[in-house]
Amino acid sequence: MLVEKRSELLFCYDIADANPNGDPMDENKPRIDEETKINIVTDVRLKRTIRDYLFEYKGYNGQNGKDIFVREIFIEDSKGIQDGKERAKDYNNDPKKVINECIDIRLFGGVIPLNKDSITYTGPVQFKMGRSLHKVELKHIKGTGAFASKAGAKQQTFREEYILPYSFICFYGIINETAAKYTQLAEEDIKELFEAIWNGTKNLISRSKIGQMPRFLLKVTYKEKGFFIGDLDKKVAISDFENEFKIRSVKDFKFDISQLINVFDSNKDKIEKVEYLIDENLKINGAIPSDWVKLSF
Amino acid sequence: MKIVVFEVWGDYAHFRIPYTTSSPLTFPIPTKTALYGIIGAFLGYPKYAYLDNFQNKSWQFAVSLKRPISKTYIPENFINTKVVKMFARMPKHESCRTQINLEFLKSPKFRIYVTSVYQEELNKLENMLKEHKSMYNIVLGISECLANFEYIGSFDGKNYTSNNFVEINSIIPLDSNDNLKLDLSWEQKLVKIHLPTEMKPDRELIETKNFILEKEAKSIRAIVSKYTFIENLNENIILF
Repeated sequence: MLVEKRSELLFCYDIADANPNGDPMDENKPRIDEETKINIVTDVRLKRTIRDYLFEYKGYNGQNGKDIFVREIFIEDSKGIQDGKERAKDYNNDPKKVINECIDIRLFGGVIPLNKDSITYTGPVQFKMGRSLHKVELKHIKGTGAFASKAGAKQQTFREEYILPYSFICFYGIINETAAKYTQLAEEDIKELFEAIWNGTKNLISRSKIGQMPRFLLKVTYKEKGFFIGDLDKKVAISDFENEFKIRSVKDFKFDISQLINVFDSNKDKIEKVEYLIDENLKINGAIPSDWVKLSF
Repeated sequence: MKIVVFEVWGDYAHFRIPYTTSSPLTFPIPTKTALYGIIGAFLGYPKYAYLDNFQNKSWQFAVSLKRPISKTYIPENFINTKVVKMFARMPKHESCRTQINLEFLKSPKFRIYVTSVYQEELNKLENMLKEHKSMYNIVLGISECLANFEYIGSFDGKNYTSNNFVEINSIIPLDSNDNLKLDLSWEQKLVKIHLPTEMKPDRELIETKNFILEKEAKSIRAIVSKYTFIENLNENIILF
């Protein structure tokens, strides 16, 4: 079934002693808004997490008609794996085939090149840049690498990196039913999306992302065509902490959703359902309303 | 003349200056062509045909800044389409990405005044705004700059001419105001910018205009040949 209703989503996760999203033009430092000390994570970082999870764990790997369009091709031993040129032929310049097979195009849209032309799909699922809900501090770490910089060198090379001691990051997104028609976005795809957001964040075990934990996920679906509340990320906050620079774990603060509950309450008649998932370690300020439904995957 | 007024804001905005490709810069305000996109998103005009509905200056706008202009840079890894087949298939062990420094407006907020010869469509827009609805997502320039909005009201606008200085709350288009005189003794930070205004349905640019705007989101004191007064808001604006 195609997506027919507007929904909005919130996703919060945290990271300790690591780098949630490096700036490629600034020594791969975590992105920080210099004026506000707020940590920023790009929407494309989250989309990469989702794509990689669907590829690795959910079978969207080019087999059985399930695929990810934007990805790195693995060229090893030529066993079932093709290079870029081979891959391009796969779809016979047929955008319909791309849409049928590639869940990431259905979710996020994309540009599909044709012979001397291209088709642009606007993604029904869009995220804003993620932001930490508190100020963060940048730490510079210097160490000695295990390897020498070149063969024959006597000394090992130095390495340095920048990390954040802690960051609690909030993403906001919208799923648009009008755009869903063009990319044939189905409800099942949305299920996969939510699973990939949660489990993909947890399963992103690289050196710079290890310890990332999903903490809170929410989806609000609306009844009335076209209606949405908007700015949901501005309606959650963290509270009950001593000093925001001193926050080192999820135990050092409470997650305040009272404003969110209020705004849902005042728009009750327009909301079809609220679904959520919460990590048990996250302390909530305010009780989860009884009519919210727990997501499961 | 009926004028529908709303405000739109977001964390970031990027209205790309079209000739800045590898280091994309942003205009300080939404261009008229970007406003066509926003109105089209409210009303559900599809991507491939929305410009058909905005030909022959059938829609007019005024824009005022509600927050001072502030810019920031967010560099991103883009896919290098010279190396990558299908813009998407990245062979391993090849450098498939290119670092692009994107300029964004930071925490922008604008008040938009809209009028149209298509009264029915204007009424439709009014209702969408009132009920906080939109057919497509409302964004400020690009899709990750998701925006929110608030309906301010629908008002009657009256046109005036004056030989005295008046405070103009919107940005001022230069071409239609050949007699423009600015009060330079007034404390204001004025900028002149050149913006695209009209496009054919195939996105061929057919008109651009120069504008004067005030960087700190204050009104501009000037003598202009023609302006529109909205009594309920006590604001003077210039539609273009």
